[in-house]
Amino acid sequence: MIEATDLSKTFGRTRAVDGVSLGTGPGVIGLLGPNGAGKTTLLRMAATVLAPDSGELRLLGLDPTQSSQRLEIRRRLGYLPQQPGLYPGFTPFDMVDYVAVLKERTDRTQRRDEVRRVLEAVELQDVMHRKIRTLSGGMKQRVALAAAMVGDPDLLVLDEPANGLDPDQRLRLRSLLSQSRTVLMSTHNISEVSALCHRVFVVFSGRIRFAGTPAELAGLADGRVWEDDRQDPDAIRSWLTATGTYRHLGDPPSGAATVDPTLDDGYLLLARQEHT
Amino acid sequence: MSTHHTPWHADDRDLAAYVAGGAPHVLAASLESHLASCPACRARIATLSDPSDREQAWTRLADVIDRPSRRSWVLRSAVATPAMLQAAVAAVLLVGLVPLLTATVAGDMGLVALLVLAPLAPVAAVALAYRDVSDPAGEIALATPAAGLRLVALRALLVAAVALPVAFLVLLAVDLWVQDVPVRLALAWCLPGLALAALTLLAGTTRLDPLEVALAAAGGWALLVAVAVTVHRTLRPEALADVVAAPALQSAALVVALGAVALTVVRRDAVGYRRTA
Repeated sequence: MIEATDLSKTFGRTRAVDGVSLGTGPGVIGLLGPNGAGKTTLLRMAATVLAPDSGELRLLGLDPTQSSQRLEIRRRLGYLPQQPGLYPGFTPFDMVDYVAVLKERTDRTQRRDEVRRVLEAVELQDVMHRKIRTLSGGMKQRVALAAAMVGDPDLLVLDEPANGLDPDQRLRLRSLLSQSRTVLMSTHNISEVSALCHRVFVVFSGRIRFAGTPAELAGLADGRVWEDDRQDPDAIRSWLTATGTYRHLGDPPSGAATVDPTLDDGYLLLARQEHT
Repeated sequence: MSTHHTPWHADDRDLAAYVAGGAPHVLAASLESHLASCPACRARIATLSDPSDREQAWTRLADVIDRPSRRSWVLRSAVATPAMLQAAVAAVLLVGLVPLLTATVAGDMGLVALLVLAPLAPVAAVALAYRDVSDPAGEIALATPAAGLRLVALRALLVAAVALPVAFLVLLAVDLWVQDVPVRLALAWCLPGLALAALTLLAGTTRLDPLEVALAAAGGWALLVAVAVTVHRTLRPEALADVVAAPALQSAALVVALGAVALTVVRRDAVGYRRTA
């Protein structure tokens, strides 16, 4: 579904994406990394908005740098940008309907039914005729999500889709995304990865540092996590947990009882290695 | 809707006739008025109607409520944008109100103002069509099949289509009420306007900002007209026409317009597929 080979993008002196290669099949794929890691640039290239400087990219088996193939990709694509820029004077219905027009849904009856369907899917049917400016942040995010989903695209590219959503809505998002064919989404929230993604790529400084399942990411810290009442100065990372004990990452001292690692442990270990 | 109880209730046969669509107009109006204030009769009429009819009625109602716009989808994709509507209004004011007022107050100066401003309407239309703010969906729109030169050109054409007839009407008004306007002068700004708009369109396929190019084009054209006025030391329409409607200038404008449009078409890929942030 998405194949990238040695993909790079530079803005001025900043190398936002630096030789990224990745391949994914269907399912929900997460891009995890800190702010400024290059996730959004990667997603914008996957959304056919931004051209790569070098490298090869194939989306749904097609080349987005070729205009005819890019058009075909866009017909099968849904995109939620980091800043959707929804016009505040529109209603959710008008907004999604407008995007459906841009997606070449010219039959008014079919388009209207489709708009209603996606607005109901994101549970906005009760406010679909209110001005967007009167909606909460979470509702606006769901309007943008509905706009991405209109037309039932084969590929959904979502930049921080869970932004502004409450826990209940996040659960709903999980169920929605599980019905989609291929989803490439970015997040800097580790819990979203475990909740939503089948596969995860960890990005630091424009490079992919890990590719695998969420369980494999957690597995990176296997045997390298232990807890103690006192802080261990030799640990490469340690923090106080809610239970009052210190959780440590690194090479455990002899006799220390290791605990099962979480996704956070695997990610923090990677982040630490990145900075050393 | 009031919920207080009325002292009478509708007859079963009248309600049945109303549901079947066979009630006379006066009876139907009376029943509708009564039903609005009588929950008991509303409950009875609900039992008389066929559930499938109710379903169809709700669908028809939802269709009316959800009707997004009566505009065609082409217009909708182009002017669904409040910024573009504002652009059309601004362009009309630019080519309409300013020269007309100037002509009324200062006579010959109005014609100069029109010559300076009229070509800028299509330029402004193109520059605004490129602005992100013109699209209510922002970056979402860029990832749709409609993104690209087609959408930009459609928006620019729609704004220009509003502004250009206004410019001609203003010329007609000046000709009728203020002073005679030679036909060749009345049309002299068209080709330069097209050339400047085409250059702005071409700028959108490069790393240049179309708005900055539009401003530079506007400045260049204003300078040209100012030089013509200064060199000939006249504001007389005939003298201005000699300069602006000169075949050499018009031919050059045509060549620039055609060249810029051709180059834009060749480079159209860059419009809907960004190389920079």
